Amino acid sequence: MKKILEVQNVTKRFKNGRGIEGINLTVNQGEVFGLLGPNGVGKTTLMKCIVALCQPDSGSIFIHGHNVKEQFEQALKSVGTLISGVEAIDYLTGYENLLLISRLYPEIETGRIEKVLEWVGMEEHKNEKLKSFSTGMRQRLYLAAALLAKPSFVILDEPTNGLDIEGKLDFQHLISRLAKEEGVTFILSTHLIEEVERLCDRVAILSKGKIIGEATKNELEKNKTFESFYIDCIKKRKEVG
Amino acid sequence: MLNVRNEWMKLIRKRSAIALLVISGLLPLVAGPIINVLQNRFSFTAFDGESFPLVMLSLAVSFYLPLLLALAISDVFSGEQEQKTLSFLLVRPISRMKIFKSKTISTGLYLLALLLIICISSILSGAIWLENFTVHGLFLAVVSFMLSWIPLMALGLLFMFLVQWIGSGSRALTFSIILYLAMMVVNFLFPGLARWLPTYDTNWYQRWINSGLNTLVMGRCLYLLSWCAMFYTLGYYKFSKKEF
Repeated sequence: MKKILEVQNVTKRFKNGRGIEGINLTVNQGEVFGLLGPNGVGKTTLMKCIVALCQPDSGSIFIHGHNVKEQFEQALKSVGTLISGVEAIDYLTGYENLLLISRLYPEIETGRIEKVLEWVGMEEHKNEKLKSFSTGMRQRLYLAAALLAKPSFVILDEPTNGLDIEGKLDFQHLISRLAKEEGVTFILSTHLIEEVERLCDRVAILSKGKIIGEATKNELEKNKTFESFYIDCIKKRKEVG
Repeated sequence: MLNVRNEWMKLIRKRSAIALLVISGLLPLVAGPIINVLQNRFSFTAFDGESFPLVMLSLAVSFYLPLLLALAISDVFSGEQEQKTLSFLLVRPISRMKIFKSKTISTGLYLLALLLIICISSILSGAIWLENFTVHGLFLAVVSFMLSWIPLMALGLLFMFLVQWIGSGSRALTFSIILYLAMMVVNFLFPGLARWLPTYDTNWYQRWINSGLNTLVMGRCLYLLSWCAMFYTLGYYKFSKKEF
């Protein structure tokens, strides 16, 4: 199976001692890969390293076979991103914010912005300025931004933060549809087990900056639930460390 | 070049940017009739139609434009970093070099727009309200305004490099203003040292008007271009290493 994302022994430590250490992971084509862990364990740091907002202290990251550090533009050419803490422009409308992004992808056809806005249920609010948006509306817009350029690989960092129940369900349906019908590959970081359970084909558990367990949905279905797998991983980690 | 339109849109759609463009255009339009009334009332002629645009330019390059430039640059870099909007485009397939270049170009265009607006409004105001407006004066004004872009841009590139260390728009603006004032003080107190700073050349159009393109002007021209190249490179280097 073709490797879409390869993270090779990536370490990133901040001055406060937090960060990630020796992360190795691979995401294959067509997979929905989940990165599960409580808040503050380094999920966003890893996501930021993947899109080069942070430079790892050591290790390499490849997307579609391109080294993110050295071939950034090629690596991110067909990648959609939603990174926690990255904000759109407040004084522009939802449509204008997507227009900014669409200009970076000359191949995007006319009407694509309207289409992705419809997918996330934001077509009615496209001409409203972002400062009037709620957290959930912003999150929907960021998801639209991630899907704008018909990406073959989408990086989603805590994508359902701030979404209401309806929004979460809409999001899950959309991700499932894109993965099944259009073969889009996803890496999704979250602290919600039910989200991973519903969406992901494979999951890695992150704790204190390290991956402490990895399993496929099929493996888990034979033996235990995602929840018991997660608890086992945490227990093992405590016993070791 | 794709991102220049984006950066220009972000810059020009801010209410403050539009307000400052309008105010810049209104100032000479208001100053013209006031000077006309004062000159008629007290029967003296300090400014005429030919010199009025250059007086407005002198005021603009010494006080007004460096501050507006500092404001624009603080917003474009530190302000966006503070509001976490800078990363909105950094996570797309566009290199940091292209983003830095497009931010520099859009800031340069904004400065050019400010100069053009002040130039047009001061020429109009001088022609309508003051005597002795000549075609020679018009030519001189246009050339002087355009020449002023280079030293101001050199100053802007210094700001652009230094604000890379500051993660807040308001702190970056305060720092830039203090730096500019410090350079003005150096200009005044230590003229020998001032020759190394771009503030020494903010009204260099006067040198062009007085003596044309001679060795001294050519030397200053080369110095300013080198300054721009150096601080553009340093600014990009720092920007490319930033983490968000």
